[in-house]
Amino acid sequence: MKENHLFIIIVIMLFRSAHKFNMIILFHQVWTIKLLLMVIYMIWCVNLSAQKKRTLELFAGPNLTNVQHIVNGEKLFFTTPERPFYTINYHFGAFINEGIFAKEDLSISYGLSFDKRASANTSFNKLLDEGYGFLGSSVLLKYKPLKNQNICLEIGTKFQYIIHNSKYAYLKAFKNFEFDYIIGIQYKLWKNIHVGTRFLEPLYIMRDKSNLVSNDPIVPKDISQIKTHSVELLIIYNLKIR
Amino acid sequence: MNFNFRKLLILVFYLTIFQSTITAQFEVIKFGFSLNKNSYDRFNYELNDSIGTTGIGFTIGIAYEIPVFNHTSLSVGFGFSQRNYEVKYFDWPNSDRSNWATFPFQINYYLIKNLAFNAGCQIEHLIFKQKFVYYSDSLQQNSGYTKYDIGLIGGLQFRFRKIELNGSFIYGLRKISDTYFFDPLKGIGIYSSVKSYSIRIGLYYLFY
Repeated sequence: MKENHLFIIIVIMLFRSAHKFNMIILFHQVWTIKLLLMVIYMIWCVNLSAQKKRTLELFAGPNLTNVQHIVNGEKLFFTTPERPFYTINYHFGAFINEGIFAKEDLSISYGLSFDKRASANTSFNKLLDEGYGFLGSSVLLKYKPLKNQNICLEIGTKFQYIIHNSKYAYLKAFKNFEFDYIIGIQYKLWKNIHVGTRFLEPLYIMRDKSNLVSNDPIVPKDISQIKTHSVELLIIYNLKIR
Repeated sequence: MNFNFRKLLILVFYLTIFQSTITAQFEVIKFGFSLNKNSYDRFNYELNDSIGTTGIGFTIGIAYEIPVFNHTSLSVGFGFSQRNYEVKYFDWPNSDRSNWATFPFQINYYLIKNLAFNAGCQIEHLIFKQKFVYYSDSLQQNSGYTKYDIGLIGGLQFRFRKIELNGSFIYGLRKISDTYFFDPLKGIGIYSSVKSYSIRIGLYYLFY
């Protein structure tokens, strides 16, 4: 009988402590949501003077690219001749640039672009091209440190979704993506025309998602990754929009 | 007359360092090119030849320099760097080539108006490697080749109008290659490792 009482008391105590713990969590959650709402309000609802400046950036240019295969964490390479080679491809896109935090020297750019990346291989006297086309969505933070010069430093990230695959059909071209980091510089050349360069390299590398397995069931499936990178040259035309 | 040369030297040193107009007082963006003499520092290697240990590479990069104190500035940058090490593949001359993304971070101390010491560190990330991956022969089958390198930088920079001449020494702290092999004659296992270092001479154009 005494044991039953003790059991009931323990259950009640556990329930109370659990309830108290839940209330603490809930209380903190409410405050977190409030804080988040306040930040969103501050960023989106305050009338910033920088909002007056909003430009559409249309850009295009050549890019120096390469594609490298990584199997089980090791980069594949050929001893001689050197391959794969770097190749010159192209990219183009449109970004919207707007000021943030009412500062003249700080702005943010976001938009869409198409990026072709490829490499060239030589194999038994044949030239094989391996190319990928990406539809990318970028967010860039731009900083103009010098008052006298119209030079802009930029840093950001790009989500790249593969929409064209020249070589490996089994890679499921429409289900592969990568995340790049971007570092770049821009210089005002004349009136609305800027020139610049950007370096892009993936932080998250494309992975072979095919269902191909080895004939030998004991041998584990190779983890195959494809790393692309690109050095872009840009010619940018800025259009003022509201 | 008791001429005290040491006092005079101290006075000249004080005037040149603390009383001159210092270029660290304004922000600068640099854009430039440098040539690098790449070398390996090998540990526990029995071969003493220089094949595969030296070569000429290059770096293209930008840097942003911002004044911090009266004579001191801070610079952060980004560069695309290629390392080359001359090797022989049988009888053919060849090169071990790798491309790196470099992120230098350094403090510049201006001794006089145009001359500064710099010291700092550099994080290098391996982008692309065309040849000679060094494997570790350990039982874990881990790759012996590093994916990134952290180097210490020390150097000098001299400015004339909008041109800067920069010379620096960089020593990599991480092991580029880390291999193990069993010597049957001696009956012992030998761990060999390699660290990289380079001497860099660069020319930069300054925007300010």
